[in-house]
Amino acid sequence: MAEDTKQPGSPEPTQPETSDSDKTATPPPSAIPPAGELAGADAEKAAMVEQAKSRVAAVKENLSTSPEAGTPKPPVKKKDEGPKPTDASGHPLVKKLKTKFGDAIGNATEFIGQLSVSVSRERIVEVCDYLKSDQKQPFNYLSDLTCVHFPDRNAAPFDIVYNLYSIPANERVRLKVETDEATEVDSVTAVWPAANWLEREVYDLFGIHFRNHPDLRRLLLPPDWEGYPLRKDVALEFVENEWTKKHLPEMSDVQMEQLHQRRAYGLEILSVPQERLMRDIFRGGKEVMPKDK
Amino acid sequence: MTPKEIATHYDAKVFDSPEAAKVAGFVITETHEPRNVWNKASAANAIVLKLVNKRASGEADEIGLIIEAWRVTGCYKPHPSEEPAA
Repeated sequence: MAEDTKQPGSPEPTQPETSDSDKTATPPPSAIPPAGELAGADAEKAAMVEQAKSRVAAVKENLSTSPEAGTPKPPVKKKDEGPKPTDASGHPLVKKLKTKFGDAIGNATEFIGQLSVSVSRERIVEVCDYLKSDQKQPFNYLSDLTCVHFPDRNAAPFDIVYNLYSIPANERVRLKVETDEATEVDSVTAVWPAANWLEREVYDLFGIHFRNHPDLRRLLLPPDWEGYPLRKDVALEFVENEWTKKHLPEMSDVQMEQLHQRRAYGLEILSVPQERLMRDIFRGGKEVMPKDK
Repeated sequence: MTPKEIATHYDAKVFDSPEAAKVAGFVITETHEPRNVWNKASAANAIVLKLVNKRASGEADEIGLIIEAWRVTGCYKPHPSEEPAA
């Protein structure tokens, strides 16, 4: 009947669009391959799978037959150790000092071209005076005077270190004097006036007393400060003490909170990852608890 | 050195919480809350050195270090003669 209603000039009626599901459910008869073609496609796929399997088997066989397989990797080569101090008793300057002062000169070591000589505490001023007034290479410049604390050395836990420089000869030498807290060390301010403040600094931070010093008092810390902060038994980080309680204004709750926040932030950015993880867990628990209550 | 290595070096026991130290009969001393790992090692060293002096003077029988992630605390087991009578 539709053909009867069709007008000669009217356009061809379009076929109603079928959905995808309709297409898959009932494919058009032309889309279905004949049985023979289907079998051919399956055979092709099967052949491809077989090829892939054979490739994998070949790779596995290669891995198992190669000489490197199964053998452990060679250990990672450690970096060569750095330079170590060597004995410098044969150094001309050490020989000269030993000839002059004998047993007052102890061990001499050389480390990457730096000569260190151990000197007895009693004769340090004599040795310094001799080195300064030497005609050939006068050590006329006291580059630095400092101290090192070795808490494990019970008899003499401190090393006073004198770094000397000879400007005319362009030579350096380091003298070391072992001492303890109770024994005074002779001041070398008479030899090099520059030692004045350096010895005051050592006294201030390590508590070493210098005999014959013209003005031995604290240099950096307040006069009524207790303790010596560069000793190993004092922590690096600032700790409230009697002096701060007495002289500094008390912090308010808000300031304390701000301080704790800054410290927490510092911990956050500087700590190792494992600690950071543990701290997160701890904080997480702390945050949850008030809500639970 | 890390705080644990410092404790090993000075023959100090390591605890992970103050409660554990108290249970083991140790007395808590000072606590430091350093802001970074370098200061933490320094704090541990300072605490242990004071405790070593305590042990050398005979006041402490054993010394210990409580190492937490954000805190280091010292502790010691008093010498039996030093312990106050209960």
